[in-house]
Amino acid sequence: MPANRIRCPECKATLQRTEPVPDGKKIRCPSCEAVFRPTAGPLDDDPPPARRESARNEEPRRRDRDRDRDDEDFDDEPRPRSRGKAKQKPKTNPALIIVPIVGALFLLVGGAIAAYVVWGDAKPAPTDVANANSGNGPVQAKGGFPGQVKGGGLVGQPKGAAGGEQVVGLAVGNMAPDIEGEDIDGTKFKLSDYRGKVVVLDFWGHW
Amino acid sequence: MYEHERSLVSRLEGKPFALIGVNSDDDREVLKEVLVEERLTWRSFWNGGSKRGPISQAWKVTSWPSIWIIDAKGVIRYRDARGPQMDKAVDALLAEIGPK
Repeated sequence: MPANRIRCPECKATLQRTEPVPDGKKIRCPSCEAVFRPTAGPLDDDPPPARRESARNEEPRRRDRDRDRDDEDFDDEPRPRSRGKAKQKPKTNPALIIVPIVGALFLLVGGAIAAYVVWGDAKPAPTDVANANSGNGPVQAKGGFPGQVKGGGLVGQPKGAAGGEQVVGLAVGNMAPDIEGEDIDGTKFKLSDYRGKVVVLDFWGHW
Repeated sequence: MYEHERSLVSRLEGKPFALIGVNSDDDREVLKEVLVEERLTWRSFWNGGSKRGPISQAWKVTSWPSIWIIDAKGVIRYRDARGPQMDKAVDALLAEIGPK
């Protein structure tokens, strides 16, 4: 049967071919340059090879070999370079690494921008809510300054008359809307009556 | 129940400070009695006898109590500071006014 493992009769090197040598064809040993007609059949003193389907990229066996070179083709044709080299492994596509990283960066930046737009420094609309019965009024106390704290935390920092207090609203930093009403005894008074004093406005009930 | 408010008011007597309530109880006469019994000496707005009265609506109050601390210029400076935090806030704002 056609042989694809051949021993050079001159230098005794074992030569492995990707395809069997057609019977009768002469070949040149790449080591000693001897020209010979390969004998048919497997070599007796060699253990049966572990057959693998794709011979192209597999690791060449290193038995009986004192040189590390390609041995695919012993014809007189010029040997193609880098065929069946053992080191060939699939190259990692750099795009597979860069694209997810860039995408993640875009998401982070975009998310930060969206969060700022939605929850960030929104100036409340300047409206007078002194006697408003309607529900729509200035922006509630979320915008502008960190004003919402549970459990009695100290919110906001004591500031001087910095920008923002001319806007009437319910947030820290806004001018408080005035209140015109009656006390429990029926006497009319206003919140603005207490301008010049520090006021704690306390919404409460005895229920 | 109103211990802290009472102590704050008495501590700051004579200072440019005012504790102003907005009351949302529904019975004005009962409330008058409460003011006496509990010795609530500070003024409160009557919110029309309902939690959905005009003042709590205008200030978008949805939970009780709700606190706004306003400086001498009328600027809101703190929100929902209670207990010792309220004391600190008020003292800080009084210090801005300076000694009187």
